[in-house]
Amino acid sequence: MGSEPRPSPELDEILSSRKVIVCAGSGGVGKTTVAAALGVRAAQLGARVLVLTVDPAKRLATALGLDLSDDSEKRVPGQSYRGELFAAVIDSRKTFDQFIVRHAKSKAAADRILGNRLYQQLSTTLSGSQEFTSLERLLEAVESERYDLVILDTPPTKHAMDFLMAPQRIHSLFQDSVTKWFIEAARPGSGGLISGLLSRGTRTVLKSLETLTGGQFIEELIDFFAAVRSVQATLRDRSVAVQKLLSGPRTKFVVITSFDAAKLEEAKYLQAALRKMGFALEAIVINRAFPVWLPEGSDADEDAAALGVSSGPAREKVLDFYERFKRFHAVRYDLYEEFAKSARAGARMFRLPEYDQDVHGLRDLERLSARLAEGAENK
Amino acid sequence: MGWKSQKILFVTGKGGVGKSLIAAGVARAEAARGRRVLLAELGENSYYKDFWKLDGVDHVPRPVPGEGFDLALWSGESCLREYVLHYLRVESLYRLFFENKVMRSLVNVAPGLSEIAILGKITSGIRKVGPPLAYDLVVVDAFATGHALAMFRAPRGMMEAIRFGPMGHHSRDIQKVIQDPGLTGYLVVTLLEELPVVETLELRDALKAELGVDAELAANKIVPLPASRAELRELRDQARGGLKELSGFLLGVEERQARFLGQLLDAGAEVHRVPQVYSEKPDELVKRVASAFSGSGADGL
Ligand SMILES: Nc1ncnc2c1ncn2[C@@H]1O[C@H](COP(=O)(O)OP(=O)(O)OP(=O)(O)O)[C@@H](O)[C@H]1O
Ligand SMILES: Nc1ncnc2c1ncn2[C@@H]1O[C@H](COP(=O)(O)OP(=O)(O)OP(=O)(O)O)[C@@H](O)[C@H]1O
Ligand SMILES: [Mg+2]
Ligand SMILES: [Mg+2]
Repeated sequence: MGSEPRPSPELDEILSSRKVIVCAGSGGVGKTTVAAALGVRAAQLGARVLVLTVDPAKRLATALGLDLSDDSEKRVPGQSYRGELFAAVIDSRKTFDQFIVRHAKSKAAADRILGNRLYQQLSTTLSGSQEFTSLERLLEAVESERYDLVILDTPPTKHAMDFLMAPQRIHSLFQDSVTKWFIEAARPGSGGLISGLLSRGTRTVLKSLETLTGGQFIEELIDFFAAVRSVQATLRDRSVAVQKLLSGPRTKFVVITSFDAAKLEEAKYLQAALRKMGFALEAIVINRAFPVWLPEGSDADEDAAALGVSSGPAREKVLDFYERFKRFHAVRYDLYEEFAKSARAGARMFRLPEYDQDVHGLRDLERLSARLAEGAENK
Repeated sequence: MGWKSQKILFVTGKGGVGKSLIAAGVARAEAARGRRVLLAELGENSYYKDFWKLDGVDHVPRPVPGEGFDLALWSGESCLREYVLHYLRVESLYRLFFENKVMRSLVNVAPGLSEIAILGKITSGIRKVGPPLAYDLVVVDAFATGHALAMFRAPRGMMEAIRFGPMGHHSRDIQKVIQDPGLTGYLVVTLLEELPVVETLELRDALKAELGVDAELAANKIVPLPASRAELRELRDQARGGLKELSGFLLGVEERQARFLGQLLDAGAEVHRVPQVYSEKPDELVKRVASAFSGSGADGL
């Protein structure tokens, strides 16, 4: 598809003037798919764009030319756009390890962290670690200045909000006071009034924790915090930089949601939370909003004519199904209108159809982005 | 259907496939058989609060008006609180534990600690520890696949890390309960689509390999077809306009559903078929899903 895409003021404005787009939303709603489709559109418009994906479905990964065990940035094969589309998979463990290696004071310090059992758990399973590494990877990509636009897909979370809370969680874990506390705890009989006070509380808490988890765990914990001190300052700086990037004028959030009352309600919370945290919500994409073939807004008379003159026993049953089906989607459309009204102005609203096959090839993505380009519904 | 006699049923599956609705449906079906049922959702935020427009959902179970079962929301933190209080006994110590900033971040890092706490709570009725949990069945609206698996793995991990002390002891007890098919059942929900089906079969294999249990499956949102394949073909070929398109669409759906259902059945799983319900009303949704689990072989299709 080397041809120029038809201009789409709503969508193109979002894509052309931004350095970073973050695609947020709860699990399975289509974040990765929409992130890739936005990437296609931006490349069609002439941008050099990178889509950073988290755990893409295998067939989508293949279409993007990605190999799940390799996290490097690759040019997407089979494209002939005005710009250029690149993609990469974020490997959480690898990103975390590289971060430690790069920022620890010495090779020995890095090895000490990498070898800690708690770190090994933390860098993969801790809630928040995937979010942390995604953001670190985003920051690296932006700082590399190799791209006009970086689109970040986000890890699956139960609630879309979890993504926003995660960096804070990781950050608070590495706060100076926390590490200090542990190092104090590790030093037997340390003197001074303050550390004296500290270690009394410390002792009690540590003892209860030991009762619960066992001594070996405590040892690992203390070792972990002692080791981590060497990257603490960097961690803090990076968190600040990420925060600045996300709340800066060049970053926009796109929220992807599925189409049901509870999820729309959640999208509304997210919208409010984003605003409160100083992040800019640019668009809400409601995915799988209606079946791709459903004639929209057709009235009953027109239908009767369009349905044709076929006869036979199945006709009535299928027509009856059609009526129920249409009624159901009409009710859902009302739900949508209600949502669109109550979601305050500012964010543009897009609806995407549900295709009868999963979206996995570059052509599918082009079709999806063309659909997005047809425009926002609340202009 | 194992859980007709079991005491715990975990409902899991990929994000958005219908875990919460199916958990509610099973809870309703079982309550209708006269069992005392608790529906427990995991995590910090309640899904059912908005779904049923409830005033609040909390750690402590409360009845859901009109449904015949109770509902509770259990998070790692709320379960750990209860556990620690139960263990440390002394209120002041417990406060120290939780009002301490360091402690809070610790609870976040300690591998498996909150998962163990949640499993501890779910199994506490059977193990007869902690506050009484007077239910015949606890239906757990559990985490999505990856996180759920991490939770099921936590007791073994903890047992290996800590052999002695109360935590080691508890982990062993919890492990026994969750791998006892007489006590605990697993229901993996899926849509008849490529990605969820692949993920479901992988999860089923992992549960078999790691816990030795046979998960049952629920194929959700099956479109009830209004006509046979042959009839649809005829319509597609002879009708015009909308009817033609609709018939073509339904044929595609029929073909896809049959293919993926076949894959689930080939894996040797017991598959419950749950129809797509064309309604947005919570009561209607839960009622219709419940009837797919009300036995007598009829699955409403
Ligand atoms: N509009 C659509 N029509 C049909 N299939 C779709 C549509 N959008 C997404 N899908 C399919 O749904 C599946 C899930 O989409 P995707 O992986 O993008 O979701 P996600 O939000 O990134 O999920 P996760 O939270 O697990 O990362 C994929 O198989 C994708 O092809
Ligand atoms: N059989 C069905 N018929 C009609 N609607 C359904 C059916 N199953 C689920 N739904 C609807 O699909 C949406 C997703 O279902 P639900 O919230 O139960 O999924 P979930 O797996 O719990 O999602 P999450 O992973 O986000 O917790 C809801 O709007 C629900 O009402
Ligand atoms: Mg994804
Ligand atoms: Mg749910």
